[in-house]
Amino acid sequence: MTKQELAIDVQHVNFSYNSENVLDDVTLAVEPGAYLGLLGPNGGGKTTLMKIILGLIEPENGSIKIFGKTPQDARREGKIGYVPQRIAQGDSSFPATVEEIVRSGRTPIIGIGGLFRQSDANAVEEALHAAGVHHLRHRLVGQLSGGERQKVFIARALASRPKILILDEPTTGVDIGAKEAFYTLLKELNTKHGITIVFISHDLEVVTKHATCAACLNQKIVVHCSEHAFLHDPEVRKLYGDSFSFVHHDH
Amino acid sequence: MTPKYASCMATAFRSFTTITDMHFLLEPFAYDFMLRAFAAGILTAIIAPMIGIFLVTRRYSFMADTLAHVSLAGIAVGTLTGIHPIFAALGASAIAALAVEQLRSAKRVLGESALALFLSGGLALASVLLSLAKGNNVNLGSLLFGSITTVSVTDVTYVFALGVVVLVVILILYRQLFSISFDEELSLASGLNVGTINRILVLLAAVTVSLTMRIVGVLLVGALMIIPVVAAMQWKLSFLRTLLLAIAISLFSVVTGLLLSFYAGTASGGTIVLVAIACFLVGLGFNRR
Amino acid sequence: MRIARIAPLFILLVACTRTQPVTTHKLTVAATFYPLAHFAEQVGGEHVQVINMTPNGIEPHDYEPTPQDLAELEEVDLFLYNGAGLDPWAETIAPNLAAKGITTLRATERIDLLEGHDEHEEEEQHEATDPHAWLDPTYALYIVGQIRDELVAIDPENAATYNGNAATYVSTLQLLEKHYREDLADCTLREIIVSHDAYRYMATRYDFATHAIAGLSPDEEPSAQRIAELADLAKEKGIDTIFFEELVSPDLAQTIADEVGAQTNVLHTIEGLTPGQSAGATYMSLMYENLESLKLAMHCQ
Repeated sequence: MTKQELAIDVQHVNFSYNSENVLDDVTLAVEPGAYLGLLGPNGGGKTTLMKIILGLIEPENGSIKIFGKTPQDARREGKIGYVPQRIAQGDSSFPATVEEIVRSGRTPIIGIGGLFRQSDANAVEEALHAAGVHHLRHRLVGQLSGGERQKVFIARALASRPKILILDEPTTGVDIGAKEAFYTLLKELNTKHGITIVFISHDLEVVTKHATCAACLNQKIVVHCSEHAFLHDPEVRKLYGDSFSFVHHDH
Repeated sequence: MTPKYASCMATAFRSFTTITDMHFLLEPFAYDFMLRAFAAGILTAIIAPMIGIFLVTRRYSFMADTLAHVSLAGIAVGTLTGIHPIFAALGASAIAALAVEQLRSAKRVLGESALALFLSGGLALASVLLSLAKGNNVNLGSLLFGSITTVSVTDVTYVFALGVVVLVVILILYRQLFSISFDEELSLASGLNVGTINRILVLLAAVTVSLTMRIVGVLLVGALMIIPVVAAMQWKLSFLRTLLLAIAISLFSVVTGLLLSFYAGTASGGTIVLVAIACFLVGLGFNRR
Repeated sequence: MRIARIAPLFILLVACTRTQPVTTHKLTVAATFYPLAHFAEQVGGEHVQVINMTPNGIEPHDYEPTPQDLAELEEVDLFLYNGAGLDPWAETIAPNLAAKGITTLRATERIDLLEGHDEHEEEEQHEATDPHAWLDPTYALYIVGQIRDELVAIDPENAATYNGNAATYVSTLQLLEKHYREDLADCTLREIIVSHDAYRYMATRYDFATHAIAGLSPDEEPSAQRIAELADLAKEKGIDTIFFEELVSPDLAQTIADEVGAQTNVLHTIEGLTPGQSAGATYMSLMYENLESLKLAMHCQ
């Protein structure tokens, strides 16, 4: 049996900014279909690692492969979908419908001067359904609630038919009920559509509750796919101390 | 609009109006110079909101005014050196546009301050240069407020050529411009060449300013690019429909404004902008929710 | 002993040098614009130093004096200005100068001024008067006479020179007047279209009509309807020359000319000399050029 290609293969990556070490020998192997939560303090390097995975910055040493390709190539093929953080506070007067926003997810694939074809329309339809916003397609994005808007951004990311979905602090500013629905959606995308999920969060509870594997990044990274192991990792304890309560639940 | 063609149309209109006795309404169209004014005005009306929508949605509304003031300085330089005003304006505002964009992307904090610098700097430079150029047949009034009586065939040709360029580029880059206007960071993350496209947008804005200046005047260029868009946004439509509505409002404002300024003897630029503002108020009134 | 012989010689020397400033002293005359400056030069000759306050190439209607100008004016002997709205800044400061003992002369003092008017009767009567009197040779004569009178009053010692110079120049003006009267007598077209309303004194005297694109000041923006009106008028009357001026943009004249297939030609307002005008152009030469242009436009014999 051939070794299955890793979705995200980060090997011994270093990165410093203004002679400050941001990432220190970070290795991360994410298998296809994984559901990974990435924790860490501010300034610990989460954003930098995301930018490297998205191919926006180059590591100083080490390597990064997305399904065996460079991040830039993977991005060009629409393999990575990205959902940014500050959505709930987004501009509510931008004149665009949900459908137009989701269609713009096809833009990197269509390229400059290309035409919107049937295949693009199909991808948009699927994305709208998958994210559960098909019924909102003609609504103005500014008139939606925080949770609905969040789903629209996921639909946009899904429009490129990505194999990996990266979400940055996805539930900031979203109310509790919407949060649960949101994570249910992510789970569905993961199990039903086989999309690899990586989401960044500062919330230990959310990560341990919903993700199958958890990583903690503070210049150095620790990864565990067992909740117990994760919670007892010395690095994790150092950061999150004793101020959290253990919530037992089934995986 | 060659002279022969224009005369032909003018004669046709004259015969038509005398026969049908619609003389009063169609009177402006009997004159070549008004036909040229309408030609330049209509082309301008179509192009202005196409750039304007990307400026408004990116909170760049003052860019248009800034470029217009810098254009005035460019025209002053042109008057002193003999360069045709449209190209002098274009050169100056293109340089300023790129400079402002550079400042903006390098240090986000200085975004508005950079514009303020160029806005007042451009006007200051213009006033100094124009006081030097006073003997050189500079018609300040028509520069500042627009002139429908002195649109030449060359003017119409330049407006048409530049207008086509702007139109084509926007059509090609529409998707990318939309994506970047909506969320620049996200667009960057999905691999769009945001820096280059931003620079292209501000250059297109500079071009649009220089061709809009003729009819509306330097002081009101920004208004024609922005107000029809803001008026259309009141109707809360999709982006594409908002753009199309903005173009419709812009066309209506220009045609009505030109007709009104012909009959009432008012400044063309101001009249057009007042009609556009009226459209905005109508949209506001109808859509109070 | 030697000193006694030298002394008278010495006194004579001093006395002689003392008289020199008297014979070479020039009057300074400041005029607000070219025609007045030129007339002053013609009458004053070598006894006067004339300053034209409006620099070459600038429209006198637009001119605003700098603080330096105003300081300079306080040192002159005679201040000539036009009045009637051409140089309002001068009308404001003239009383101040007069109070300081400087002689001031308003050129349009004794001239029967025309009122500004609009071709549209519905419009309100303008308060403005028409200041362009110098373009009528007869009024130019009056002005020259007044300048002579003032110079004689200030500097009676050189009265003979002033009277002589003035008489010479007056006779050239009278010849100019004669040519205007005779050459404009027999013309098929007695209407012209001009850029701004500067020619009505000339027109009234020699019996033709002027239609101006702008008003009394070339800065007034004409409406599109005005342009349309003038184009219709040109077609109706067969006007085939549209006049423009050097110090103002010719665009509007060109628009009308293009509209009706007419040509454009320059009609000097002689408000100032432009850098473009050939060296040696004077009031007289420009008035004769205007006469030729008028004859052509009005199809005179």
